[in-house]
Amino acid sequence: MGSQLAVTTADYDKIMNDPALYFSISNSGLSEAQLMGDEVDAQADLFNGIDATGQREKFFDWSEVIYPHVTSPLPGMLSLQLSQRYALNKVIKEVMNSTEGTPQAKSRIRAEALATRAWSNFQLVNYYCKPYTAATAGTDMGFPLITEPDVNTPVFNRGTLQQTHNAIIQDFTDAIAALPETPAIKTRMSKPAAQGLLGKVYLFMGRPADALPLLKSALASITASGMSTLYNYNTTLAAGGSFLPVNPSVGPLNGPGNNNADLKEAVVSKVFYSGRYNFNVTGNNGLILTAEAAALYGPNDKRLLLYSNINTDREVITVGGKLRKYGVQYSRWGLQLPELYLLSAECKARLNDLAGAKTDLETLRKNRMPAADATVPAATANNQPALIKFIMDERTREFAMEGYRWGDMRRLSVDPLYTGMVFTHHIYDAAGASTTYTLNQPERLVLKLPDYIIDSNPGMVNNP
Amino acid sequence: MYNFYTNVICRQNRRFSKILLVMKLTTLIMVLAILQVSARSSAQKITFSQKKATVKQVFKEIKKQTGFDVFYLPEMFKADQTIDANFKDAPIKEIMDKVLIGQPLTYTIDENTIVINKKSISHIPEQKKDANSIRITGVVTDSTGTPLTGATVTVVPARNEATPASPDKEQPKISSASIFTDEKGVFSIDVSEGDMISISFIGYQTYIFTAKQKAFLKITLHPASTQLKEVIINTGYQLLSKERATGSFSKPDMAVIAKRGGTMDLIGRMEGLVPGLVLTFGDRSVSANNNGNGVTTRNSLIRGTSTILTAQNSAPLLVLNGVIVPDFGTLNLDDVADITVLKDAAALAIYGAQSANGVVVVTTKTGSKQLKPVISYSGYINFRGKPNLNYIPVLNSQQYIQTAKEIFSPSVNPYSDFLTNIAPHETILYNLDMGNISQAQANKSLDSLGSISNAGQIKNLFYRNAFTNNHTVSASGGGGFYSYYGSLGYTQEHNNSPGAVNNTYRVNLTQSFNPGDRVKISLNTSLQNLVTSSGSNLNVSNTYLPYQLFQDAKGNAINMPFMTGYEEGLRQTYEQQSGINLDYYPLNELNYTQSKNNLLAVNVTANGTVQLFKGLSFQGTYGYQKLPGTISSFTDGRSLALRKRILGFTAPAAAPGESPTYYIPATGGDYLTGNNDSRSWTVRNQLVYQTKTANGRDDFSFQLGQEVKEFYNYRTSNVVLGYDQALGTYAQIDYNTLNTNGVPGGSVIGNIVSLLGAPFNISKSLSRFNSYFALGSYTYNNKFSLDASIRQDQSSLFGSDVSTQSKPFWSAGGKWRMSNEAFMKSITWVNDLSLRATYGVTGNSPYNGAGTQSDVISALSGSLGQIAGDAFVIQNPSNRQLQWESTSNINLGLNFALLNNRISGSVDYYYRNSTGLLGTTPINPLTGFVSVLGNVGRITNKGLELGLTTENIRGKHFGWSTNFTFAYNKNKIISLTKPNLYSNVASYGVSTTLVPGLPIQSLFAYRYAGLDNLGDPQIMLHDGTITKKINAAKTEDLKYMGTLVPLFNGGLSNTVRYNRLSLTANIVYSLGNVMRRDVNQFYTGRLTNDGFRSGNIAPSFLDRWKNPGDEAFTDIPSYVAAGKINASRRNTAYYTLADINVVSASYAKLRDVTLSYTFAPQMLKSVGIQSLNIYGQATNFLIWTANKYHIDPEYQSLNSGFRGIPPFTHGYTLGLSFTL
Repeated sequence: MGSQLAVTTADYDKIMNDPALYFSISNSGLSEAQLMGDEVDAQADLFNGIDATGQREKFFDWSEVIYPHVTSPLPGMLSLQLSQRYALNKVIKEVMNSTEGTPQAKSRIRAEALATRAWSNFQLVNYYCKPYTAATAGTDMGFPLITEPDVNTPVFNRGTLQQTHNAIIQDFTDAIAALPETPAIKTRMSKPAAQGLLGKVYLFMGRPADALPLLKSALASITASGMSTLYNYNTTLAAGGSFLPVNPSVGPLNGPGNNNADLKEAVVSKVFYSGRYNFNVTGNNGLILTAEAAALYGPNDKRLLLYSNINTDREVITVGGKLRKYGVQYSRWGLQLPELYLLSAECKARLNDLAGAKTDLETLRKNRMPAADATVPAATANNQPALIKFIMDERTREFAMEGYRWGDMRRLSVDPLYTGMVFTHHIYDAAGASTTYTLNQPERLVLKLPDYIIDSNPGMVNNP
Repeated sequence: MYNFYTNVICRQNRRFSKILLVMKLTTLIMVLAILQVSARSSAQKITFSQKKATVKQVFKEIKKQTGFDVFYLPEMFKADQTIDANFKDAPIKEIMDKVLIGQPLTYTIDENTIVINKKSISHIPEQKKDANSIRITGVVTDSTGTPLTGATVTVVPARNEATPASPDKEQPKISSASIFTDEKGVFSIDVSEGDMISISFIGYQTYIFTAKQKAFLKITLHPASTQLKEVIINTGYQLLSKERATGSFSKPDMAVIAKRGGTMDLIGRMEGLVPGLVLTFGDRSVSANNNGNGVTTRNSLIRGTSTILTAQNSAPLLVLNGVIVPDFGTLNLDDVADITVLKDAAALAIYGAQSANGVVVVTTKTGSKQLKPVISYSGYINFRGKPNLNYIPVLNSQQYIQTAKEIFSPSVNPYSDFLTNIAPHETILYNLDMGNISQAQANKSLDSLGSISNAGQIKNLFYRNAFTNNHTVSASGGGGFYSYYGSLGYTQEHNNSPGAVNNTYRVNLTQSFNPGDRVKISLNTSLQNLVTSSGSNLNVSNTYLPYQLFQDAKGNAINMPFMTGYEEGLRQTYEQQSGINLDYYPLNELNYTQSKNNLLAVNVTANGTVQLFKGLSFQGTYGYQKLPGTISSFTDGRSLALRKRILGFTAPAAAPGESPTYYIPATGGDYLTGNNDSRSWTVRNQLVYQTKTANGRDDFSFQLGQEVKEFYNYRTSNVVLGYDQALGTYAQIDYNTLNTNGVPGGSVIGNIVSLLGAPFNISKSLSRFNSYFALGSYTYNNKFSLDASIRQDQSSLFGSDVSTQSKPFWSAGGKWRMSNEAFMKSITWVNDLSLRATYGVTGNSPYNGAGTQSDVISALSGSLGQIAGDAFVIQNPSNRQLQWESTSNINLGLNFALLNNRISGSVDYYYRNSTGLLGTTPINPLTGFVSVLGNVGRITNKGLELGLTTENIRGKHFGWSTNFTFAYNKNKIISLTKPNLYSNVASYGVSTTLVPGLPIQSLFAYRYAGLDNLGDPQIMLHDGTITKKINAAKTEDLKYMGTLVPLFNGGLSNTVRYNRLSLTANIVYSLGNVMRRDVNQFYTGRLTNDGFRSGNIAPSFLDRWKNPGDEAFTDIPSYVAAGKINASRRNTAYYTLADINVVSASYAKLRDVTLSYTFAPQMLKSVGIQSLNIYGQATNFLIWTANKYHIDPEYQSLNSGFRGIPPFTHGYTLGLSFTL
C-alpha cells in the first residue's frame, strides 16, 4: 500500500475510518474489565494458565501489580487508546486546514475526533482514576490530557480528576455542536452518540440531572431517524428466527454476538472480541456467571439463550451460576441502544421520574422476553431505591460478562445508595471447591499505571 | 653474467645454428620498440685505444668501464669485422655510432643496457617465403636485472583468419613454440607474425605480447606477489594512482577472493583481506533480499558502527562500474577485475548523504587492446556437506524420557482438551495418571521410546549434501578501435534442502569503442537469470522430539496427529465436525509446497569521455538497472497448514446429519504469484580539466558534475485459494465477509479466525537524489598532493524538508611523499615513504520512509473487521527535529615500502565523530508511540589499521610471502539525547545495548550470587544486597561485560611457493568482544511447551538444583512446574542472563587453506592449452577460541546466547582454470 501525507479533507476522513477505532480483537476493549467484574466466577482448569505471564489470574484476583515491569506485553486497552490518540489529535488540529473539503465536512470530521477523544479519555478514567466524586475530584489524580500530536513532548502530568472530566465534557460539548444526527456508518460518531455518551459520563459523575436532557435528546433523535433499533429476541430466537441456528460452540449462529458487522443496536459501534481465546491474557475462557448473577434472570428471559451450561470441554458446568456466555463473541463498548434506554431509565429513576424509568426499562425488556415477563413489578416500579437496583440488575442481565460491570462497581462504590458493597470472585477447582478473592477497596477499584508510564514521566505519581 | 653477450655468440647450440642457417643472413633483424625505451643517455665516458679491435672487444671494454651490457645477435657482425678504436673520454654514444657506422643497424640505450637492432624495416624488402616467419630473441630478467633461467616462453599461434591453417600445418609450429630461457636468461624462438608470446616464471607476473617483427627484446618480469606495479585506485568518480592519492584505500588480494568458492557473495569473500572491514556474524550476519532479487549479502562494517540503525543502515555503499547498486548479486565474481574499498572522508565525501559507512567499488574486466582473442575458463565445485546438527547439545531420547517422567505434573497441568502439544510420552504419563494403564505398561512404553533415536532419520530425510558448482567461460580481445570482454557464467547452488534447485545464469559483455583520439566509450551490459525452486521446509533439527521417527522400517511415512496441536479428543471432534482429516505425516508434507522464482537482472552502464579542448574533457556515466522477477508458489490443500486453516473457516453442521459449511474451498491449494520490478538509474555528467605544468612534475585536475539517481521498487502479489493445478481453476472467495466478519457464528475451532489476507498486494517505493559535486586535486613536484571534494545532495526521501537536506558534504586531504625528497634519496632501503592526512564530513540517510518530518499515513484495506471502508493509519509520526546523520572523519596515514619493496604497507589512524545519530528512540509512551526515529546522539569511532605485505623469501624455486591485516576499533556512545527514562529497570537494561559512555552493542549481565535453598537464582545489587526478588534490580545493578563487536580484527595470509606449487593459508581473527553462552532456558511448564520441533532442551538441565543443599554444587536453577509460581517467586533470567554466562567471543579461524598448482606450459602444448591452474581448498577450521564451552562465535547469537546450527562443518573446493 502506498504511503503519503494527509492533505485533503478526504484523507482526514479516512483517518477516522481506521478500523482500530471500532474493532479490536486482542487484549483490548473491555476485555480486562471482563475479568474484573464481580458478576463472573471462574473454573480454574479452563481459566488459568492461558497466558504465560499469569496476567489473567492477576486481573481476576484483583492483584495490585498486574503488568511485569517491561514494556511488553502492553496493557491492552491503554495501548489501544494511546495509539489512537495521536491520530485523533492530528485530525483535531489539522483537518480545518485541509484542502478540498467543505467547511461542514471539516467541522464534522473534527467533531468526530473530539467525541472519540472524549470517549477514549472516559475509558481510561474508568481504569486508571478513582471513581468520580465531586467532593474529591479537585484533588484526586486525573489521567494525563494528551491533546497535541507531538512525539517530542517530554513530560505529561496527571492533573486532577476534575480537570480530566472537564476536558471530556468540553470535547463532547464541542463535538455535539458539529456532529450530524445520523452518521454515514455507525462506526463514526453522531450527535445522538455524543449526547448519549456525555449523558453516561454525567450519570457516572453522579449528575443525572445534567445527563437526562442529553439522553432524552439522543433517544428522540434515534427514534426519529430510526438509525438504531432493538432486536426482538422473542422472534429472532424463536423457531425460524434470524439468530438461528444455535451452534453448540457459539450459540445462536447469526446473532449480533457472532457478527461484528451487525450494527443494528449500535448507536456508535466499537467492537472487541470477548470470546474464547488461546494464549491470550483476555478472553472468556473459564468464566462463568456467579450464582447471584444467574439468579437475576427470569426463566423466560430470552437472553439466557446466549448462555450455555455445557463447557468448552463438553462437561456440564456444576459450579457458580452454572452458565457461561457463549453467544457473544463480539462485545460492544461504544454505545448500544439498550444501554441508552438503561441510562435514561436510571437518570429518570434517580430524578424520581419512576414512571418514565419504567417505560424506558420496559421498552428494552419487552424486546428481550415475552411481554408478560417484561413488565417491571409494581412493588419495584414504585420504590425508587428498588427501581434503581432493578435497573442496575438489568444492566447485568443485558451486559453480563462483557466488561460493563466493572464501571458500575466503581461508581456504585461511591454511591451513597450502595455503601458498604463487597466485591468477591470465586474460582472453582475441578473438584468444585472454590477459592474466594475479595476486592480490596478503594485501592483496587483503580488499576495501577504500568511502571513504564510512570518512569517516562518524572514526577508522575502512581495510584496506590 | 657480465659477458654473456659473448656467450650468445659462442653458445650457439645446434638447433639454434640450424635455425640461423635457414634464415638468410641478409635478412637482418627487424626493429621492435624495446620495453621502456628511455631517452636518458649515459654521461659515462670511455677511454680505449686499440687497432683493429673486434666488435666484441669494444663491447667488452664498454662493459668493463661503464658496466653497460650490449645485446646483439651474432649474425649482425661478421666475425672479422674490426674497427680502429681511439677513444678518449668518449661518451658511449660516440663509440656506438662509430662501431655501427655504415651498418644497417641502430641501437638504443636503456638504463645500463645497450640493445642493437636492425635499422628500419621499411628499407628491407622481405622475402616472400619468410614473410610470416620471424625470429624473436630476447633476454628475461627480473627487475634488478638478474637473468631468469628456466622461464617459459610459450607461443600461442595466431589464428589465420584469411586462410585457416590446416591442423597438420599448425601442429609443428606449436611443437616448436615453447622453450625455456638458458642460464643467462636468453631465449630465441621462431614464430609467425601475430602470434602471442607469453613469458612466464613462477612467482612473477606473466608477460604477454604479440610478435610483430624480428627483434631482440629485453623483458623484465615483475614479481607477482608484490605490488610494485602502479596501483590504480578507482573511487567510482575518478582514477587515482596510489602514489598521489591522499585518502585511505584498501585493495583486497584478488587471488584469494577468486578461490573462495564457499560463497557467491563478494563481501563474504573479502573477509580478513581489508583492514577495517569487519564482517558481522551471529544474529546480525546477513541481510537478504534487499531488492527482491533473492540475493543474500553478508553484513559488514567499515571502521565501526556510526549509526544505531539496523545493520542494513551501517553497511557500506556498493558501487559497480561507477554506479550505486543495492548488492553485487547480479555480478559474476569471475568478471571482477578490481576492488577498492574507500574508508576515509577524502574517498567518501563524494558519495554525499550515503557515504558514512564506507564504499566498496568494484570494476569488471575489460578487453585488453591489441590482443588476439583469449578464451578462458574457470570453474570450481565447492562441497559443504550437511549441517552440523550435533552442534547444539540436547538430551538424548533416554535422558528426555527420564526427564519427562521426573517433571511430569498432572496436578499443575491437568489433562484437558485445551492442553496442546501432548507428545506420545506425555500421553502415556497422563494415561498412567488417570489410571488407564498400569505402571508396568507405562514403563514398558516409555522405555521403548527412550531407546529410539531419530537423529539418523533427521539427517538423512531432511538434509542433503550441499555443494556449489560454478563455471565461467570468457573471451576477450580487441584492437585499437574496439575491444571487448565477454563472459558466460553458470552457478548451481545445491543447498541442504532436498529438492531445492538454485541456478544462476549470467551473461556479461563489456565493450570499448575508441572512434577517434577524442572519444572513448565503454558499455557494460550484464544479464543475470536466477531460477530457483524449493519444496516445504519443515525446519526439522536436532531439537525435535528425539524419539519420534519419521518413517517406519518399510519406509512408510509415520503419522503424528499429536503435532496438529490439538488434544486427541478435540482433534477427533474437529475431524468429525468439519469432515477434514487431521492426520499429520511430516515426510509427506515435504511435497506439499512448491515455490518457484525466476528473477532477471539487467544492468547497463555506459561511460563516455570526449576531449573538448586542451586538457578539458566531458565525462558521462549512465547506468540503468532493472530487476524484473516472478515468483510463484503452490501449497497443496493436503498440507497441515492449509487443512488447519480450512478448519478455521469451516462452520460445523447446524444439526446432526447436515454437512459442515466450508467458507473457503476444502480442495485445491493456495497458488501465489508475484511480480517484482525494481529499476534504478543514474545519470552523471561532468567536466574534467587536467593539466600538467611545464616541467611535468606538477599535476592539476578539477572535476565538476551533476548526478541524478532514482531508485524505484515495485512488487505485487496475488493469491488464489482452492487452486486446482490440473485444471488451472480456482475458487471464488467472499473476502469481504470473511475478512471483515469472519465465519458467521464462528468456525469448528470456535476461535476467531485468522485473516485470509488480501488476495492482491502491491507496494511501490521511489526515492530520488539530485546532487552537485566538485573534485579537485593538485600535485606539486611529485611530492605534495592535495585533494578536495564537495557535494550537495537533495533527496526525495519521504517528508524530509529541503532546508535540512542541503547540508554539503566535503573533504580535504594532503599527502607528502617523503621518499621523493632529495634528502631521502640516499636512504636506499626506503623505496617509498609518504604521509597522508584527510578531513571531511560524510552522511547517512535513513532508508526510504524510515524517518519523516511530516506524519506519513498509509492506506489500509480489507483488514479483519474493517467494515467501514478504506482507511488511513499513521505509519510514521512526524519528527520535525529530524536531520541526516553526519560523520566527521579524520584520517592520518603512512604508506611505506622498504628493502627493495620486500616490506610494504600502510598504517592509518582514524577518528570519526557521528552526530545527529538516527535511531529508534524510546519516547514518552503517552504521546501515542513508544518509539520514533530521531536524531538521538553522538557516537565516536577511533581506530588503527595496518596492512602489511612482506616477501619473506624471494627465491627462484622457493618463495614465501605474507599479508597481514589488523584493525582496532573503539566505539563509544558519547551521548543519547533521550535517555531511556522508563528503561531504568534491569530487565530492560539487560537487553539494551545503547548506553552513553559505552560502545554501541554493549552487553550487560546480572551479578550472579548463586542459588537459594529453593534453587532460585539470586543476584547481587550494587550495594551488596543479595536478592532474588523480581524487579529488584535497577540498571545500576547490572554489570557491563563488554561489547558484542570485536575490538581487534583482521587476517593473516601466508603463501608458500615451491616452483609451480603454492600453498596459501588464510587465518582470520576477531578479538576483544564478548557473548552470552547457551544455557538451559527451560525451568517451568511442560517439556513440550515450545512444541515438538524445538522442544528438546539442553543437557545442563540434568545438573539443575533438585534438592535443598544442591545450591552448594550447582548454579543451574530448579525446575518449578507451575508457571505462575515460577513467574511470581523468582526470575530465572537472573541466571540465564548472569555474568557467569558471559564469555569471550575472541577466536581465530583458519578460514581457508589452498593448494594450487600451475602446470608447466610445455606439458600443455600438445593439447593446445596456454595455461592451466588447478587448486584445492578446505575451509573453516576453528583453531582457537577464548571460551571453554566449544562455542564457535560465528554461529552464536552473541546477545541472546543461542547457538545457531552451522550450515556446514568444513567446505572443500576443487577448482580449475585454463586459458586457450
